[in-house]
Amino acid sequence: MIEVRFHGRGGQGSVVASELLARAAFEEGKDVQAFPMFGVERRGAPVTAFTRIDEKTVRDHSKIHEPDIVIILDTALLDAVDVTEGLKEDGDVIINTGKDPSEMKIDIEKDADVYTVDASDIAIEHGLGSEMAPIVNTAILGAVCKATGMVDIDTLSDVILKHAPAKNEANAKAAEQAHDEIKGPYPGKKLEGREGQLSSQQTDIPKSEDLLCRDPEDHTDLPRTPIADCDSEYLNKTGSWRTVRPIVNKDKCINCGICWKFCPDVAIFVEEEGAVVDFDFCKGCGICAEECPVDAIEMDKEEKYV
Amino acid sequence: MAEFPEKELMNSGHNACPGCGAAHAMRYMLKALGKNTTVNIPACCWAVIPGVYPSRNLEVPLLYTAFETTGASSSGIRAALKKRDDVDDAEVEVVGFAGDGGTADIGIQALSGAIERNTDTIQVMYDNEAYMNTGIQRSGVTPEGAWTTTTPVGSKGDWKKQPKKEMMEIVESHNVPYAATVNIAYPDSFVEKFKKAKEFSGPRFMHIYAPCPTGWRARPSDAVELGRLAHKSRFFPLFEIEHGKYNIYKEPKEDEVIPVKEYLKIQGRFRHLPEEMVEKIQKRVDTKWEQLKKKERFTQEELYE
Amino acid sequence: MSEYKIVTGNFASAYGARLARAEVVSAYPITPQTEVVEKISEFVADGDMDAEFVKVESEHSAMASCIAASATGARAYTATSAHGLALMHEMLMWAARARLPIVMTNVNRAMGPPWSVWADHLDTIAQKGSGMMQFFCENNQEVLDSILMAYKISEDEDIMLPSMVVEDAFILSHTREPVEIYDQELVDDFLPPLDMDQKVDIEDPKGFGSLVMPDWYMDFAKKLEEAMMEAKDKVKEVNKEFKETFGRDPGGLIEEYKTDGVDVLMITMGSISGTSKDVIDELRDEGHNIGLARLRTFRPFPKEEIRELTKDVNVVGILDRSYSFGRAGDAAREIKEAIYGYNSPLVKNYIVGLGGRDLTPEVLELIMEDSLELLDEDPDQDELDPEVEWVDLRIDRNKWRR
Repeated sequence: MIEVRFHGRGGQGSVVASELLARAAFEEGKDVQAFPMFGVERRGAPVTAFTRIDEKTVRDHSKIHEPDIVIILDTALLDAVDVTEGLKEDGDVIINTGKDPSEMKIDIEKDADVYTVDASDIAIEHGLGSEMAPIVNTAILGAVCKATGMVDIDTLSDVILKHAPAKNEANAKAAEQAHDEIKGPYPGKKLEGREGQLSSQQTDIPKSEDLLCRDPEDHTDLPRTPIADCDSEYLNKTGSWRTVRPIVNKDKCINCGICWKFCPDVAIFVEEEGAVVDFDFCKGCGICAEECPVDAIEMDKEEKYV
Repeated sequence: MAEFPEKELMNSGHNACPGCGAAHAMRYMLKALGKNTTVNIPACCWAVIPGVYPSRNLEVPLLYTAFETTGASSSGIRAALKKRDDVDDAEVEVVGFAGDGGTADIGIQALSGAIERNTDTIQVMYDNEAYMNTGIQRSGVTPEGAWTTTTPVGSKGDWKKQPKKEMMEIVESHNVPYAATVNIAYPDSFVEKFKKAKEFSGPRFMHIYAPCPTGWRARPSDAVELGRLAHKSRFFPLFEIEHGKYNIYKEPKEDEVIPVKEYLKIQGRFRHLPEEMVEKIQKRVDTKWEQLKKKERFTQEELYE
Repeated sequence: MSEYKIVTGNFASAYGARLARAEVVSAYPITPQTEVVEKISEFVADGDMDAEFVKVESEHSAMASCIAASATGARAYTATSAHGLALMHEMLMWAARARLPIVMTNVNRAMGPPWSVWADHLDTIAQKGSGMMQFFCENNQEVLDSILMAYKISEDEDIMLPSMVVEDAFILSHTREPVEIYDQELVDDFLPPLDMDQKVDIEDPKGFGSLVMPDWYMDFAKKLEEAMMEAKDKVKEVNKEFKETFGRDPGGLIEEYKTDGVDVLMITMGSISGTSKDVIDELRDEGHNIGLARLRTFRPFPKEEIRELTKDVNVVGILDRSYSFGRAGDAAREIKEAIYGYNSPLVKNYIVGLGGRDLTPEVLELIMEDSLELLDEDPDQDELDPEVEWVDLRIDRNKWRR
């Protein structure tokens, strides 16, 4: 049995990727299963999807806790999610990035391997998605074929041609190109002191007396019914959803407050020196940049700042 | 800026999609109504936006309720507040905050009941024109021509065939003291109209135009622009009804009015529409606008003077 | 001052809500509950009851506004029947999971089609997994008593669960009997005002009922069950306190009628219990060693008491005024399950009185004689044939007539 976990964002096509991979393995005579992690994730929020592949009938319907392969569609997630959680000692990690695998700071056992592929670049080249938001799910699957040998690239191509939701030929070509351009393997290494480094999680959780609510992790002495009493700002750092970020040009800013007025996340404020973004919560919707009357805000790719 | 309340009663760290008009709606509404407000919310995006247990993102009490119960829940809260010794119930605004499906479809019975029995409440429909929380299924308030996952267009042109259900008219026929449409693209008048609603007692109804970039297949950064185009094209007119008297406000000047096409074209949900459908939509918008103007004239001049 | 009035079960319900000082009443009329709504309207209109009566447009909204009122700290009451209860189903679940101490009357009536407005327990029994407590009443006095007790049990800080007080359609709802309407001061001592620790409050804004992820939901479900289990002792405790205050014993979890050392134990629920007691007396006079237990609290289910009662009994005859299609009557099914591994009497289930079919002393006597005859059967047989018998069907009426 091979168990695969995809890390992407709502709207990036991780679920479709998990299905296409399953379909390809099925075409090669395997039994398969593909499923998303059902949560409340919205566009941009970190999501996970899973694929199980086996020679015999897949009957296990539990979640995947110890994957053989982890596929990361968006490097910004490395900072936001514990992507290697539960990865098997000899597992593989495949990351969408222009960097070399040796440059990736991934916390895994030394028997595990890291691969990288610039799926974003390949997707843009083939007209999949936009420059700001490329659709990389098919490209990265091509790389997965090469790295793991789970399925043959020709099978994958066929499946994409038949089953991709749109732009089938471009998607198949992107997968083939990624198959050829993947870099790695590079051996894993254990990183020290990475615990509690994820930006989506509160690293400095205040004590419950400061939170004025129950400790969210306290499972003893539960109240009779769940009463939400803990400020969302302590629990939900939505900055991790962002794929683009607003950059304020302080020289142009006229402190008019329009960005503040129109921010649906209450994540931009007017200070004396100009508009200031609260990157803990800004989801990168871009309304501030769109509405700014003096064009003092521009949106830039988030991954540059990771 | 002077009039726009600075105090935030909706906090960050919520689960709305990027560019969510429903988040604007709650933020502006609470700015207008202040902290002496209770909000009851049925199944809708806003049942998820405050976060999962134990998270909350409102500085007012929030009672989550079942999908079809918003009106009845508001009546229950109001009745209980009247019995509370520690509360001056006249000082508390009871808001039922539901989406378009929760208001106009599954919740219309409870809404009708609540406003008919004269509950002292503001019933809000934040209208993102489909069941967005479940993933973009048509509601009775989805506009004609729109793609949704249950009007998937397909090869047979199966888009939403029916025009948008008119909740303002349905509510008006209950003889409520005050009802208004507001648009998140105009925060100042949004806040002003909610403050005006607060001045009345009895059942009030607020129809909020709350663009949903995710469900409308538009760029999140265009959320506010969508609201503006809906207004300028007269697709979503801004008006209020005060004791039966219609009043159009922020009326776009004749030279500001844009064709509906300008509004439709930045949304993926209308991309499939043939030219004749766009014309049909334009025609309906024009007819509805004329009707509204006549209602305004009739109720202001002929009926009341 | 306490006084006796000759009133219907519905009026007893209305007086119960009034004596309990329900602050918010929200209800919708349905036959045969209508009089409850009418009587409370009169009480409120005449200033005899200081309550907000939310006159809703459906039963679903009735329970929804009770839930909102209760969550905002008010003592809430509603009443319904059959189709109204079924329409409320979603909100019964909601009330229980929100842990709100709402008390309601359900007038047991058959579900259609065919339309039937007469007595049948399926409406209530179908809600057995809702998380509401269920108290079945034998007579009108008990209806009033049970409402007062239900509030006290529901509002206990260790319980905080809604309750359903059930009375049989027409047999109680429209039958006039003497009912003691207690002195208000006495009731006020027994049932102090509701003081909820957590409620919708502008001074302490919180979220009530938010989404919980899979790693939380089950733990809260377990809390509900713990409260249910706790409620068994609470029923007994409140029953005792009630007896001390008002001099009347409504019967706790299960009422035992001449059960000491019997060979045959009959088990009943609701209004047929009184008639059955008369028949028990007659049969005992004839020398039969037979007794009766009345299941008063169906939720929480008194399994320990059932085990104790059936310990030395050879035959148990269980009368169900409802049927769970595809299996048996629910009381019988649950009683069998409760005694499994403890006692092994022969158990026979009689399905009786669906849709208001009358249960005469004659029919009840024939049922009990049928149970007595089982004493002659092999006590070690695996299952009786028939295990479940539908009583007094038109096709074999002769069997149930002398």
